[in-house]
Amino acid sequence: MTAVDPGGVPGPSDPREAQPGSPRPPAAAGAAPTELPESGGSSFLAGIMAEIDQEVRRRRAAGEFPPSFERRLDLLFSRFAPEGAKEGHFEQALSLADRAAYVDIDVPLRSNMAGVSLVKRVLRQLMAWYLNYVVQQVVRFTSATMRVLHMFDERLGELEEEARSRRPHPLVEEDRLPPAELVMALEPVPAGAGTSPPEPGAEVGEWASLVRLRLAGAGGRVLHTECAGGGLVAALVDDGVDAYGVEPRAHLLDLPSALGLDVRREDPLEHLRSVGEGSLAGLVLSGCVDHLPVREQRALADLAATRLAPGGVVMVVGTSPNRWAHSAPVIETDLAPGRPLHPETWCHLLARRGFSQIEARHGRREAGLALVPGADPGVSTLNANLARIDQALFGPASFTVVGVRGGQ
Amino acid sequence: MSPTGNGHHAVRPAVRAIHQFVPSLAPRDAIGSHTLAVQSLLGEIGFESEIFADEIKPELEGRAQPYARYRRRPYRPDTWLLYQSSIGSPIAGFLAERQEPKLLNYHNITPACLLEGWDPLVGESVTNGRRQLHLLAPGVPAAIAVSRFNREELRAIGYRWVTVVPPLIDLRAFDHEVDRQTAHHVEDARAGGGAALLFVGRISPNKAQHDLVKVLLAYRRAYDRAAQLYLVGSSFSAAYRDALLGFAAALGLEGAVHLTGSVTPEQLTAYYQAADVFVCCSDHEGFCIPLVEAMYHDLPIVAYGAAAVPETVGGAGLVLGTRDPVRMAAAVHRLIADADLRQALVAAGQARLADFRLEVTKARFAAAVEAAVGRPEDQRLVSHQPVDPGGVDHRSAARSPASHC
Repeated sequence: MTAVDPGGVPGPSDPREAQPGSPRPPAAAGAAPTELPESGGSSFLAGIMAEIDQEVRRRRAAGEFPPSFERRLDLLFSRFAPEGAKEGHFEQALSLADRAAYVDIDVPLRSNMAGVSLVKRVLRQLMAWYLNYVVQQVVRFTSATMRVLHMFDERLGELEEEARSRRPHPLVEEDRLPPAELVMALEPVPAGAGTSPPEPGAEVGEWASLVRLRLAGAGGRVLHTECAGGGLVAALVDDGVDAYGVEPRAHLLDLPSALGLDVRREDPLEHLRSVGEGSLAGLVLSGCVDHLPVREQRALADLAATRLAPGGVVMVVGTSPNRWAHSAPVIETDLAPGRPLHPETWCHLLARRGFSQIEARHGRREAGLALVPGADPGVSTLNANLARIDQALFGPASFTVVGVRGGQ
Repeated sequence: MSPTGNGHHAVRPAVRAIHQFVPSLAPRDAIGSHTLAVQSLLGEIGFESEIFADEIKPELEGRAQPYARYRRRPYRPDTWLLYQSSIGSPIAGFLAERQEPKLLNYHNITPACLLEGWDPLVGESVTNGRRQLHLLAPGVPAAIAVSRFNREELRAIGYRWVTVVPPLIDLRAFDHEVDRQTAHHVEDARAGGGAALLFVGRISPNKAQHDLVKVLLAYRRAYDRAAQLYLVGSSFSAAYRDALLGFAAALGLEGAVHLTGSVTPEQLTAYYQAADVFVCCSDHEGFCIPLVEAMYHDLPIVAYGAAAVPETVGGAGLVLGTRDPVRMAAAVHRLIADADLRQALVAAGQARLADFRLEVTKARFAAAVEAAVGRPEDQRLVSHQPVDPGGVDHRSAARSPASHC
């Protein structure tokens, strides 16, 4: 029997030379069948899988498949699925409850036994007056209950709509594309277009090296949310960390997806809720901590405390509140649903949730107001005031807070 | 050791009868065939055995009775009731009220979250089925699961004595004449050089045929613009079938995706014989007999490793940890282009079939039943053997059902 070399690549040197349409070779007939290597079947198959992965990476890098190919296909399929088939089952449950709310008094008469149908028919007629009376009351009750449920649904829908209008959900943007545009978005992209790697750690700016240092050697999965262009994820992966990211803005994911990084289009809070308890070794929170409402930022702290394994590290990288208030566009800051918390507040939130070794650091200060030279008392007063203004306007642009989950 | 304890059968009378209860007894149906094979086996090892069903298809009238008839029978301590569980059924409630000890043969119940969005009534039925598993647990001293994946589900519910025996399949039943017309139809489609990808199973959301359409799209783009996908099986949900067709049409694949509907055994054989690769993206399978059928027909397999799929394949196919259509397409191409790999996997499939031969599974099922009912070792007709299955791929990591919902 012929054995396949587990270390080599059996078959044609270039798989594209094969003739897919040619009739299937009679594998088990005629020539003696090839066998998987007896002692190394799994490693042989693992080798094949690795080659398949390489092939996929090569084709993706060549632009044959746009980075969001699968996601857009999912989105396209969801256009043909009934409302709620892929996510959320409330509509279906309500519809089921609606149907179940009706009680049918006409019991079936069919029977496999001779004569029993007739008996059933007579019984049904005899009992109709009694059953009618009971069933009418039951149906009145179920109808009233369903009415309340529908009113509740309506009011909840209005509330959700209002909440959405206050904070446009990035996940919704692409969901509104018509199917034809989605199909167009599946087309290949020119080779090499948009596939240059992101700047390592760009999303966390000056804190990249600290984050990499603290998470080096993490003994499990590390999540970065919001991961934006995936620069930090890429840097951590380069360091040998099992890192992945979530980011709700779809367009930012094309590049990191193309590079084979594990980045997912998800809402940070929703993703963290879906993660198993104690399943993360590290968690980097950035972006979302600048704009989420306070209640949701507290939820982030809650989730960090439960989703991290004992000894897991949380790192909050945020914009300093003062800087955010003065540097962001006025309309944006006025209408934002939330604003960054001070690092002291994050320290408090993490401490209350059992984190230890909590440490806050402020980022670099940018050049502020120049002081007036001279030793005159008036100059000193002026400089003291300038220093206050400087502190208020040109404080550190960012901060980080690090904490370790207790219980190790 | 018996699940009823070492000394229990000392006071319990020898078991005389084991009657089966099944929600639906239908011909050309995996559970129907299994139930009939189990009945025959129980007779062979000395138990009286009748079948009771909620629904009996006309072709099998006479082989079973309506389960309600059992209501008239008085309790007998020498009788066990064996329930074939695969969906919600009033039979479960009926059995829960009976005094006789029960055996459960678990074929798996699809998680409701995969179905209810498409068909709320079926969703409710499977939810009910899972509720009934909880209801039955206290009165079921022993269970037989058709896969390790199913066993873990039962254990999570609270079933303590669960052994694994694959379904009783007569592999010879896969042998049929090839339907010439079907074979010509597939060959005509291949005339342009296109590979034929095949999946067999109900058109149902949990079988994720829409993911196979994605694989076809990726495969055609990267490797073979004339490739065809054959989806053999009846429709479970009109909404899902319509969505599948709409999706394929939107992608320009309406002429390349073939939904055959229900087919005859001869037509099915023609599809297996003519296809190049068996592809499977199912989200949830308690066992997946078509994988065994593909092995029988020397058709190599590319599958997504969900639920019981990895252990059924058992290393005799390419099982991927992702449904990424590009990766699946690359795996399909690799199998088609690499004759050595193909032959190796076909040979591995033939070897794997040995674990599913009827004489093997019957012996294991008999051993499991005799151990379950506490038949003394010296009276067993089948020599006892370890009932935990060998031949499964312990390395394959299946996704847990909870990850669906």
